[in-house]
Amino acid sequence: MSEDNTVEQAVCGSCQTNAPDPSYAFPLCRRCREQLINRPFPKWIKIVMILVGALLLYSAFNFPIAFKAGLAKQSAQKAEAMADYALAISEYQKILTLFPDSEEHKARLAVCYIKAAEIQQAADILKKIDDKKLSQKVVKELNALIEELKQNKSN
Amino acid sequence: MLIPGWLISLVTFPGVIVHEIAHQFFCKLAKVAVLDVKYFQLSNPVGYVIHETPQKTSQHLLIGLGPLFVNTIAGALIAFPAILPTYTFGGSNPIDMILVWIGFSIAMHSFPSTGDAKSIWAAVMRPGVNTFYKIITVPLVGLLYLGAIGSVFWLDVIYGVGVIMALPTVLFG
Repeated sequence: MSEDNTVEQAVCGSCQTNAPDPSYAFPLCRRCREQLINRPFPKWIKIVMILVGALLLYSAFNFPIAFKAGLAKQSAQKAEAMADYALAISEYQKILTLFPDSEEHKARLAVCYIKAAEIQQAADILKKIDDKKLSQKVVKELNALIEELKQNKSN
Repeated sequence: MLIPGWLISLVTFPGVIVHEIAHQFFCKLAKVAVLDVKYFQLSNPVGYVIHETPQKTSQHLLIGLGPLFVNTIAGALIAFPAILPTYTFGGSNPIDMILVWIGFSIAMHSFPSTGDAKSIWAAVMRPGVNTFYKIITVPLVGLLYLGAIGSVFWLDVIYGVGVIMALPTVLFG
């Protein structure tokens, strides 16, 4: 919130000594106006500013990582939709290099490995995410693919 | 759900402080004397900057609207690298949580108060003010009032969430 003020007075409203500058509506002498324009920030506010600045720097530093991962995800989804599983695998691998704990993307990588007929790689990933919480969608997809693999094997 | 305003302000205090710092910064930039500042308090208003009446309409707009842009941009930038790991990649850490909280707090307090809106309105509606300023200010002040009144209906919270989620959503769906 900010509030503006206009007061008519014969002396400076701040030092109560000097004549106010007539070119302004609020009665302040030149010296006081200069001081109030450049009113210093208290020490604790300077600390807050440094902290916010540090957070902005940290965010700026991490921005490219998040951006790259976001782009890789978009590209992986497009590649999957176009059945280009080799590209999708490479993009999901990029995501996992940046965010190695992303279980959902490990599962998506496993899906792509199965669809690309790279069963051993898929099995290695499935072992790692066996006890992890995943979305219903990817679990259903994986189960269906595994079922299909079993049927193909028995035929 | 009714949550006391002071509690929301306490939880999101970084945003209030950044908002008032932005007001003071723009006063300095516009060479307007600052008479009193409260960066944060638990009573209404939670923060304020009292300054002399600016001579130019552009100074009024700069001081009144400055925090809207500063808080929105800072909130979005601080939260962005933490939103994706938290909601998309499942690889968030405690620092990401802090970034989301700070980013949201700052974005949530972007909207100028009704005091700011009143001040801008009074400045722009003075006789002799360029019509261009009036044309751009009328809908803007309407929006500011909507934002201030809408805080009762969590509009400031919705705005905060919108700001931190907008960039990742627009960029990556």
